[in-house]
Amino acid sequence: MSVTAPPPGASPDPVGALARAGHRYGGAGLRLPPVPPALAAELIEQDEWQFGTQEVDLTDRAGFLADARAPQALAQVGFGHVGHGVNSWFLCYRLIEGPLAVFVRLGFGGVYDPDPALSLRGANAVTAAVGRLLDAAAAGGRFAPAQRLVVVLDEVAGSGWEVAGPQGRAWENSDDPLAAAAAFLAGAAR
Amino acid sequence: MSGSEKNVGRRIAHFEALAAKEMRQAERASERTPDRDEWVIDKLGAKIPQRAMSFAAVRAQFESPPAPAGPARTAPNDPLRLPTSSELAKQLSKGRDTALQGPVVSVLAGELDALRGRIAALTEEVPLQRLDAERATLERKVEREISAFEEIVTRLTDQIETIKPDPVADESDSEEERKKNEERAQRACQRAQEHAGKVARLALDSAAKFRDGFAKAIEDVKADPAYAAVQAHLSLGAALKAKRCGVSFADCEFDRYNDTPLNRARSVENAGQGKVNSVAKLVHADGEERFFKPLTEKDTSTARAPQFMKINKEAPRYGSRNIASGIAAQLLGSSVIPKTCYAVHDGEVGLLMDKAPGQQPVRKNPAKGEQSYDRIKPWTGTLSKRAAAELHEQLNELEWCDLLAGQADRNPFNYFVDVQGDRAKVTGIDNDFACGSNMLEFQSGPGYMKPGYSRLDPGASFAIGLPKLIDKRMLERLKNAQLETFLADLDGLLSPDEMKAMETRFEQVKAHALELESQKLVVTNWEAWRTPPPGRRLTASQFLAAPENKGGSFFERDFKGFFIEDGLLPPDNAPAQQAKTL
Repeated sequence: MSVTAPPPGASPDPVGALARAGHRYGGAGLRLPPVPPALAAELIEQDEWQFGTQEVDLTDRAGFLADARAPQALAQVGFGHVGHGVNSWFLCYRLIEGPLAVFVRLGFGGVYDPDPALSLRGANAVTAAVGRLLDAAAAGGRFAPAQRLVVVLDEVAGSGWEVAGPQGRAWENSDDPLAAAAAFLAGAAR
Repeated sequence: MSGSEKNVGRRIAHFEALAAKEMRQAERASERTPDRDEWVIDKLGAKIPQRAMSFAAVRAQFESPPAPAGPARTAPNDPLRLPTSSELAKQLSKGRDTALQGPVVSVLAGELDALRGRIAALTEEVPLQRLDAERATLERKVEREISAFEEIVTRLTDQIETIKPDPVADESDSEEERKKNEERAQRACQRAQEHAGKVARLALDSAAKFRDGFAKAIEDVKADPAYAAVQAHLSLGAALKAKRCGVSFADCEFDRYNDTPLNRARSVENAGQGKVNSVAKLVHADGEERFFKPLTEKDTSTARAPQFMKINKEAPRYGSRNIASGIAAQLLGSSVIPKTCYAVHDGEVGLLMDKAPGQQPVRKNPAKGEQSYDRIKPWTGTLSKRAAAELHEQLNELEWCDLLAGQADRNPFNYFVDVQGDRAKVTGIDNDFACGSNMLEFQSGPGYMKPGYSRLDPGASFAIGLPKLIDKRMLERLKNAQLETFLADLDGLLSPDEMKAMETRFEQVKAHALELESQKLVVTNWEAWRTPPPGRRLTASQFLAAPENKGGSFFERDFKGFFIEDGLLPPDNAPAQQAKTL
């Protein structure tokens, strides 16, 4: 029996984790949330319905904000369906990479949902909107060093966005922060 | 009690009556009032000196009757289980998939999972009603399985030594590069051997521990005082799992809630989506809809709240916490926490919960399309004053019940409001994150606080502070509540540390209630109540919505906006007179 030394920087089975995430989400009719290629290499399956590059509580909004506002925050991504009981369940997504940080917490999957089909469409629409935001932010050149666009879409504790960092933009409550942030990026590009 | 002790009892009553007379005489004469106890014992001792101590003991029995007995439950033991291969991986390397890869380890992991499956199947084949007859055969079969597994592990362990390095070589490599590759391969080989050895040792230890504990696990099932009531409904496997999850059979209502009178046409398996699809909606003979959630032995999530509360995620006993929350609500005379019990469905034990009527305070507005995150009112039209008053009363009850139970996660998705005309009903569901042992300190303000009190976990930005008001009925119930009875009702549901924390919370909740009473923040009539003078006399809505009380109540957090919408409160920053007052 022999073992081959893994090359330096090898990933912990990211292909497997990403594939399993795709299978899990796809099986439930959900779009897979966007995973930046640079972070995909570090993806781990942390629980049956939770994937990420770090072990975090995906519902920890305050922890996310603290990280997102720190200029030296480690790039990270995490997503999953988490919760407890029969109705306290949320589809969550959390990303910090470069000039963009996104936190999403949507009520989903609970047995009291009066319209599961609507919730499913809504979740997929959010995922698509996050993907577009990532693409817009990746175009670059919109933020000064140490600035970061922080977007929170949170059905539990309220939504909003800000530009963290020096000469940024104060927090603004918003019912649709993804659209507001996208409009800001488009405006900043002009 | 013996005849002589009954006689003593009569003597004690006689002397206590005399003592009361002595006290009154002393008070009238402005003399030092003698200590009643000492006086009575002294009198008894003078009559029958050699039995003074026993009189004290008998007297103690008269004055302090034994604590009432709650439901007969056995305290939960450490769960006995074989780990899954994933659990082994997590123990070894924080869940990285590579923990189960590589020579030896992958085979061993597969064998462990297979052993678990075979033992589970063996125990599930034995109905409790046949346990005594089939036990010896079962134990022999389990022993054979474990022995076979141990042989396999031993053989695999021998193969660890045969793991050899396999350096990546290229003909064009220099001598130095070749040497580095060999060293790297050597180190990797050593790590692989050590890792395989660790996995093998862990697997053997787990198997030995399971073997040692299996007979006792069966005895624990049979020792449950309510064992006879569940025998007809469960296999040994289901009973063992129930015990691992901290279930006491006293909390099981299998005779009432099983599949025999199930209305299959109206019941729905997989009532949720995603990870919640294991929950079933069941309709039993009474026609009522309930939700059934199979027991989960461990909490494998990364949620922080359980850690904060010092809930053991290896044995979280969430079912027990739901039941304990209901008992706390009963103590306070409230029905805001619905009935929960254990039921059996498809051979599995699970938590059965009455369906909560009404709607959550947060709900998508379908009229605005799939990406709308409006909160829409859980009632149609405008709320009547009477219904608004009842809503206040019920929300307040939920706050006090949650405070006593140490609820750490009352978010707007896990409670419901049902408004029908002038009536309003609030129901709190999903009471898993409650009754932790690390909940000993309150803080009066809203928002976050020092670590250790997860109801105000900094990560839970929807947390509220201590209640700002108390309903009169709630206050009286708290004042008259018997702690001993409460603790007896909880017996067997919580760990000793959790019981101690519950006791501390009880005292602190009572103290806070009395503090509110001293500030005249007690509400008898939620419609008519106004804040005490001096200052402007505010209604309950205005008081709770005031800026200084921001984040301090479920009303302010979840309903202020709706009350503004209905004109029952002025918009923020508008003069108070603009609104119809409630």
